[in-house]
Amino acid sequence: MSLPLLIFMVVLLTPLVTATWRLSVWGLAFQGGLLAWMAVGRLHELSLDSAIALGDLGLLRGLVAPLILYLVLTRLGTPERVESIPANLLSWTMAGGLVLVAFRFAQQSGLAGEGLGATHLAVATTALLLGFFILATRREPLSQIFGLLRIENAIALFELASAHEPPAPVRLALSGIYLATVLTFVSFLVRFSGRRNPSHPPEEVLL
Amino acid sequence: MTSASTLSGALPAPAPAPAPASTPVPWSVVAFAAGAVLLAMAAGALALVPDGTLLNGTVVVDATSRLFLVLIDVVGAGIALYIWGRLHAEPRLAEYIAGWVGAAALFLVFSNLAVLSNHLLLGWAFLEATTLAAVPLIRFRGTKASLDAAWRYLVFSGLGLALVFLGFACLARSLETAGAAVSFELESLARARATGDGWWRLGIALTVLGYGTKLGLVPMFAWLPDTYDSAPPATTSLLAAVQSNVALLGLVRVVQIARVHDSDLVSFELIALGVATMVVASFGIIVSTRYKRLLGYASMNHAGVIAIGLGLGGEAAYGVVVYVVSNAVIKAILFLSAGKIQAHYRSEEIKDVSGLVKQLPYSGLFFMVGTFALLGLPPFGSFVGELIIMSGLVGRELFVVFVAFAAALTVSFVATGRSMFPMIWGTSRPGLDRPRIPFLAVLPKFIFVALLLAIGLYVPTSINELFRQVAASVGGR
Repeated sequence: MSLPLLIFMVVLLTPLVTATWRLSVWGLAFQGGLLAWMAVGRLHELSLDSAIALGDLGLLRGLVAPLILYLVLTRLGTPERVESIPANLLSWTMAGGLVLVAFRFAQQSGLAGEGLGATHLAVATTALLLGFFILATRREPLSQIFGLLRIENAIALFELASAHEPPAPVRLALSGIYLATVLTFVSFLVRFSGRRNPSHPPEEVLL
Repeated sequence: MTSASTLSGALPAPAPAPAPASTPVPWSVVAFAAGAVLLAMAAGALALVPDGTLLNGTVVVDATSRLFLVLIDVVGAGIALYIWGRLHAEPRLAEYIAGWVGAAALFLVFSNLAVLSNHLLLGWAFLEATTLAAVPLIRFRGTKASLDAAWRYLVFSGLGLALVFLGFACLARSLETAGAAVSFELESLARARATGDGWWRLGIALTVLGYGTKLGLVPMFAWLPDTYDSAPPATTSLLAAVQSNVALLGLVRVVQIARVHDSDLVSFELIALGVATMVVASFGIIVSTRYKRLLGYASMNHAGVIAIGLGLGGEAAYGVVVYVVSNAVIKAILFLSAGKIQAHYRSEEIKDVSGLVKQLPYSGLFFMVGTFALLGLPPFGSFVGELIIMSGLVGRELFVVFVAFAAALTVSFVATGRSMFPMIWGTSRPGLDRPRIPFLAVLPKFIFVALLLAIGLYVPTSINELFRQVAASVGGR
């Protein structure tokens, strides 16, 4: 297993057992940074398309999105403890089981091949399954946000194996959508916290 | 005590008197309505443009994009005119409507771009953009229920669209493995030398599952009844009649690409998802006590019928096209009428609404016609569509599926009728005045009803040809 993939695995698993939102946000930031590191390692030549892709991974996923989350959560005074998965032995065992399933899948499915090693596929599958596991076990919006962003990063990790780069306008559109999604998540966090409640029509005024 | 007086006692205060006709409608609403009507006219004008791509291959003009564009824009224009009518009836909305109208305008623009996109990834991005634009539309009322529903909608949509994106990545991997050039332009994908390997099949399956989430197919349907129930009716109309068709177009594009190489690829998956969805939706209809929630489950039921028809292909494909067009119009009629009913009765409970045809003659009539079409009665297009799909099931000798299909339809027919017929013909509630209805508020629904009847009774040759071309593109004959 390459060093970035190994660190990626650690970054995936650590926030599951520490159960603080700060570490989850740091985890997302590290994931973005590691994705950018791996993308640089696979870079043959720097073009506009690859520069935009690097910006998407390193700047947007590694810096901007986690920073927005961090600032908003700090300002909202969110309690430190936010579980990504239920903090009990059963959940941790199930998470460990999902890691095993992902590695078995990567080795035995026959899908790994040129450009996509079995370990790379295994780590991407692990990230995906753990994202689903978070969504399946937590109802709090913040945990679900972490789950969804982990899934987004898992797909980005899987995509890294491909030599195909979407054209620059498409990549920009995808990055824009990612940023807009994070901002929409944040707007929900603010509303759920009750800090800001924009004016809404009275109940008897119906659209 | 009569049943009517019992009903009256259980209800909140009657609707406030209609506003004076001189109250001006905000410019934002006028601009939105004008823009939506212009979009509908532009969509119609696309019929004059020959098949091919425009703007350096960015925009695709073919039978599928023409049909879906006209469909969503005609319905969108109807909803915009309904909003105009609502502002006449409820001028207090003017203070709050600007945000809704802005988001709805973005929603319609992104929907159009998604339909016209010649690039699967770009189409995906625009569909995701419609999802984000729909969030403020759903939480417009600002209640806890609407906020929760909007959140659930966002999470499920995000998850579904992430699966679609993962599916695209698998398709790219398959093409790379086969040594083919990777491009997500529609024509390139259809021409690509796909091997139909594991990545290809996995990619197609994930995209079907992901788009299925946006359509409300099992297993990730839980967002739909909540969202349709909690959102304002105009928003629900946009989701049910516009966004679901944009998502369906994404599914149709994937099926078109898959069937170039293998005419039976994802047939089983689509049929299985469709049957499971119809069964779940039928139970949902039985237990629904709120009419918008019931309509939400009925929408799921329709998505199931469409999935089965798409899975079958062959003769059933034409039935799917007829059914899709009818369905968009039916949902627009029913949800917009539901908005009028909700505003009049101040309740979303089925038990609180009775005697619509006497109390609200126009909305009652539209609700009645919409319900008949929803139930698949002749002479509406939904009847024709269901009949063709059922004959497709018999033609393919899928008798078990046929029995499940017919049973689910029967259960939902009886359960829907049991809930809705008393709403339409029950004893009308005393104490509520018949409101004045502005012409603009009923005009779109009259047009929708005319369209609905036309689809069932007489389809002009040119439109029928368009239907056939779309059906042929998904494996129809």
